[in-house]
Amino acid sequence: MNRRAFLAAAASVPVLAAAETRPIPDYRTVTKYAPAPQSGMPGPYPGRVVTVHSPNCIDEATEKVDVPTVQAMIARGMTTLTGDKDPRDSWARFFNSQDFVGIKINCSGAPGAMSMPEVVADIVKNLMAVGVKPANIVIHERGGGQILLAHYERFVPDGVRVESANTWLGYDPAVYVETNFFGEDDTRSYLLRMVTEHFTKIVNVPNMKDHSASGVTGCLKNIAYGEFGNVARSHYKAQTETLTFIGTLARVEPLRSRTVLNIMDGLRGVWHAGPFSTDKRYRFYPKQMKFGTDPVAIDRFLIDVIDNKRRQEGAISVWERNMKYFSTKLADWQANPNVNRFIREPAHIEYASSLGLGVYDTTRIHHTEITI
Amino acid sequence: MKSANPPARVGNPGTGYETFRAAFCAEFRCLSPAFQRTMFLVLTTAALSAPAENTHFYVPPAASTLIAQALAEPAPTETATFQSVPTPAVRFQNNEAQATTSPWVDSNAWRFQRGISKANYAKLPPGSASLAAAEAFAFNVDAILNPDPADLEPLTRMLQFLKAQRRPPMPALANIAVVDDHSPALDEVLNMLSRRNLLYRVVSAPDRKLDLTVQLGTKDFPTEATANPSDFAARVREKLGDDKRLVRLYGTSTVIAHLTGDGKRARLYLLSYTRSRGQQGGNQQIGNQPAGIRVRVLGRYRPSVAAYGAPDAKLIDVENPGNATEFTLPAFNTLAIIDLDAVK
Repeated sequence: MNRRAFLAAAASVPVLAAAETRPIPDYRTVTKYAPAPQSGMPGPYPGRVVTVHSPNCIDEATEKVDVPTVQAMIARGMTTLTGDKDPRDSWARFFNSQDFVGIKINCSGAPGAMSMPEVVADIVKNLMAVGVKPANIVIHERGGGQILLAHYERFVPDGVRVESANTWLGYDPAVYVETNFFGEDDTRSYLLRMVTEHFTKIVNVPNMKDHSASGVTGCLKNIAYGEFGNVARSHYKAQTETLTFIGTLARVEPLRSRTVLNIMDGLRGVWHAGPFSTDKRYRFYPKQMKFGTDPVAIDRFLIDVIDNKRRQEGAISVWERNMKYFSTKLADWQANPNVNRFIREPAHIEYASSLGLGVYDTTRIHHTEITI
Repeated sequence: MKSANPPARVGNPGTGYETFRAAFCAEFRCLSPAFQRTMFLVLTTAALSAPAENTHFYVPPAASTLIAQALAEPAPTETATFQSVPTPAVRFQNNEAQATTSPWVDSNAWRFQRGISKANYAKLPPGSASLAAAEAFAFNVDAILNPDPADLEPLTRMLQFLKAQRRPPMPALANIAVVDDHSPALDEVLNMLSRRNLLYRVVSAPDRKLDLTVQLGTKDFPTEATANPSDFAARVREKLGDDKRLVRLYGTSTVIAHLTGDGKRARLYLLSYTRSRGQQGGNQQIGNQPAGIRVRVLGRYRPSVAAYGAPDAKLIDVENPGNATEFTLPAFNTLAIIDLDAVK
């Protein structure tokens, strides 16, 4: 196999100080779509992140979300990102009445971990405020099981749809990435057909989670592994291919051009055993939301959020690659935050930066933090 | 083995090799010379093993309703010429550090490929008779079926479906010639090749007409490599190259493909070994219809489908990228048969 070399190590990460040369799988991307004139990722605000904190956004004991606070966080985050005074002007920069908008949520781990329905509901409200018809708004996820647990339909107006690849359109056979990671025979990952044939824009709404294979799961992984099928094949063995696969998928048109806004829901998070953990021990409450068009820049700070929490809990870093922490037993990893199930690849975010999807270097990211 | 047709009967019965070659080239003149050559060699070689007639099913007296409906014949009292074969099935078992489970398919495909032409499914547990019949039919093997009484109804439906699909058998098409050294080590190698849909033909001597010859004890395929049949199959795949593969399946790990053809047309059998026998392509769905699996066949064809359990099934997203045909097969149960007419 003809492979190039990729320097996986990030110079700023001490644990990877000894540079590790890794081969990049041969990826063959098939798509008939060309990039839009204004690329969605990193979009009009590359290297720009707005974080809005609020201690009142969620009650840790009951996990009840304070809706007015969330609405205020979203309004403030959007206006700060765009520089407008009126949130409607901010939303109108991205969406108009002609758009068909997909809201890509994350329900892996629902109902304990998911994009909060209250957050999604306010996004819907803002889309409608700039003229997007309810029938042209689709809250969606790749898999059809866990999205039902969140009951988004109870939080949004009639007409707004909740769909998955199981319930609507399946996959587009004309848009896929082909690669052979570990000798698997099914070498193609197809893009959701609702993305290619219906959505003109996508709002990406990940939450804040640890991920056993990719290190963390944020904007990039939500949009990549959440909009393409047959992705679990990248993390089949201890050494995964999440490092390069996530960015490779996120870059595929029309997904890249149509993903115009990222709103990271950090009201509640998972610091270990992600992404599916239902163990309350590993749940935490960052009580924040991040806004931007640059998924790399947002995810760069997500690494810190997850890693700081893990440090606080006495757990190994998401950058830890020492095999002495590795176990093939699922139960070991679930029970002990100092056990890795895979060699984590948080450097997938820096790799995505190398593909032009955003800014990774924190010295080049303009990060505004607000507390309300 | 069933009697073999001479090569001259392929495509143009009663004429000679040169006539067949001329007819073949006219039929496929739209294809590149290299591809023409490959397909020609595949087909002429395949002709040597072309079977003469369709599968015969035999059942014990307890299943006499099938005999009454002319779907099966009485099982012979003397079954020595029939070889016992295990029940086709699927098992799931965990691999280490996996994100998914890896299904373990118990298929008789490799046994049929290695020469069993009369199979005895002596005692089929509930839920397995239809798959056994489909498996035997796909590989054109005569079979004694001893179904569980609970399976009589589904087996009746399956045999009715198979009866409607009878066509003059065509030779099996393959990329790979596997030289049979009659060693037990080859059993699991062949099984893994079948499982990975690496289409092969078992031969007695190296056959350079196919894309690849696998012979144990050679530099490329040392006998000791058979200790890990999975790795061995991966080695075969790498040597062959995916681009040359006559059939590729996407969206499933529990379907086994068997391709036959005569130069003008081909027939692809897709056998689903899932526990439910239903094949939904990783829970994909189109509208209210599960999306099924994506199929790629080398060669330009116009495909049509007959799918057990899905009488209205239609292929969707049919395309001809390059010298290939691709289509999405909607949900089916146990067996789908794709008839492929060559496109000029």
